[in-house]
Amino acid sequence: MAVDRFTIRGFGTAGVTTHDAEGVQFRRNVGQGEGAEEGDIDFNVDSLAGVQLEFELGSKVDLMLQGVSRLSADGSWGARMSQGFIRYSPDESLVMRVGRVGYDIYLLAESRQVGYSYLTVRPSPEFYGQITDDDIDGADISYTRRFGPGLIRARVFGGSGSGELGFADGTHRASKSNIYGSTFDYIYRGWTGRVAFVQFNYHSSEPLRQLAGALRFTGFPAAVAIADDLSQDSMKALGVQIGLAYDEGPMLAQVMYGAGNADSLTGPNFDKSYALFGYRWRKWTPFVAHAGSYDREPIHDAGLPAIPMLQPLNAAVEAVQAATRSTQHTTSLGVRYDFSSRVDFKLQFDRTRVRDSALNFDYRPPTSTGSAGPFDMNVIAATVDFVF
Amino acid sequence: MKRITLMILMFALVAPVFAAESNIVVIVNPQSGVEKLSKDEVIDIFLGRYRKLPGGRVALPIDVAESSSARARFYQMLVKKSSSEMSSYWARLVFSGQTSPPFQVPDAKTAIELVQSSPNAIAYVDRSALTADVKVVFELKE
Repeated sequence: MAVDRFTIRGFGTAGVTTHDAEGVQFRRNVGQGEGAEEGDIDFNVDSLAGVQLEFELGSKVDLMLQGVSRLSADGSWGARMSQGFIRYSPDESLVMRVGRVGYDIYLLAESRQVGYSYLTVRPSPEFYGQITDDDIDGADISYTRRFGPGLIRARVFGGSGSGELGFADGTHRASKSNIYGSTFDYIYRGWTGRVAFVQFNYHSSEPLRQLAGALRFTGFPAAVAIADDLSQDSMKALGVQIGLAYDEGPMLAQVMYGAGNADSLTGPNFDKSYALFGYRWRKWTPFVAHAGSYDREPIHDAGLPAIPMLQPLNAAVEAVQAATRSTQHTTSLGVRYDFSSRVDFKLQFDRTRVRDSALNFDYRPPTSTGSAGPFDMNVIAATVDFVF
Repeated sequence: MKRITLMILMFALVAPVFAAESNIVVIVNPQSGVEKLSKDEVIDIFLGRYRKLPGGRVALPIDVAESSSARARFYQMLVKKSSSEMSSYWARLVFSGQTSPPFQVPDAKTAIELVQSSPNAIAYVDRSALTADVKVVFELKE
């Protein structure tokens, strides 16, 4: 098949980030293996670069390849293909994509990697920070049609995800899952309303199976019940998201609510909320945002007697639950300045109250490898975003 | 007083000319079968949301160069967005692999030529640049 048109595009963010919480490393999502330390000027957390190649293979088919380099779960800068798919659009109503595709969970910025495309320095860690990667190896289909004065769009997607999780003890592991979902949007002029459903089926990992074996071996009924939970072949988590955005003229406003329900102790059960308001004045757009995430379930103990021999098992059961905690909330104030239609500068201040969350690394004594908190932190970041 | 009256009179005569020249018109090929478009339909086509003309024909939107004042005024009047805001909007869609921005041509003359040659093409030009062999389906008035 001949290539009718070839386009190369790129994007990137150069950012500096600092905060004031002693013994804590700040990171923007659980896929980062290192975070910004107290008082340091960190260049890694909010920086990344990417390039995209698009090959038009006719009027209805094109091939898209996109690679991104950023801080990864092993603490180094790694490059990975974030998108690589064939897109077929037999008619403008219907678009099918097969390959590595981004799944559609961002209401106003469909990719969280392109800083230039959204107002804040980073997508909210509370709302999006537990997602390791926003792509799947699979397919999606979207259908759009006129409905009343606006447009209605439905999209279904499915495939396998292969994100990596970084942990405070320096280890990292793959988070293999099957991901299925659908989004329904209604778009009218500057308004977009969305309802989205995403189901994650996580595959059981070898360390969890070993922990389940040890718990079962104790013979205590409560521990055996937890062993049954941990040794499931897969854990299901269902996420629901409702959002409304307004983006017309100088004003941008967005509110979202999300809920997660998992069928295992190791999965997240949370409520999340997010609100953003920005107003452009010439090249300046000041903004304010608030995000919160709240775990619904307490951490369960292993149901074993408190004797030294069984203490490692009790701690391990609590640690696997702590790894998905995210109870914290952040208020952000910032401003974006558009130098040109390709480059912007952003300055953002965040006040975060962490109550029980694994989004950041907490190294305060006694050293923890699980969730962090309670503590308060002030984060300041300045970034330059560009696209070409 | 006489001088002020004269100035007001001159402005009143000249102002409609300026106003007429600053209007932007959306044009299609007469063979497209499209009689007129609503503002919502123009927004959906040029913002890549739904690129279909009434009647079912696929729409091929055309942008003039970013340096053109017609382009800046078109998006300012259509969705009240500056060039950098439109660039940010397209960055969202392009880098998430959703859709591509309108096909870009250097000037209004090339845009009109493309519309003349394709029943799918749709473009915007200053009313003053309009030629007889394209059809106006929507007008943005300043």
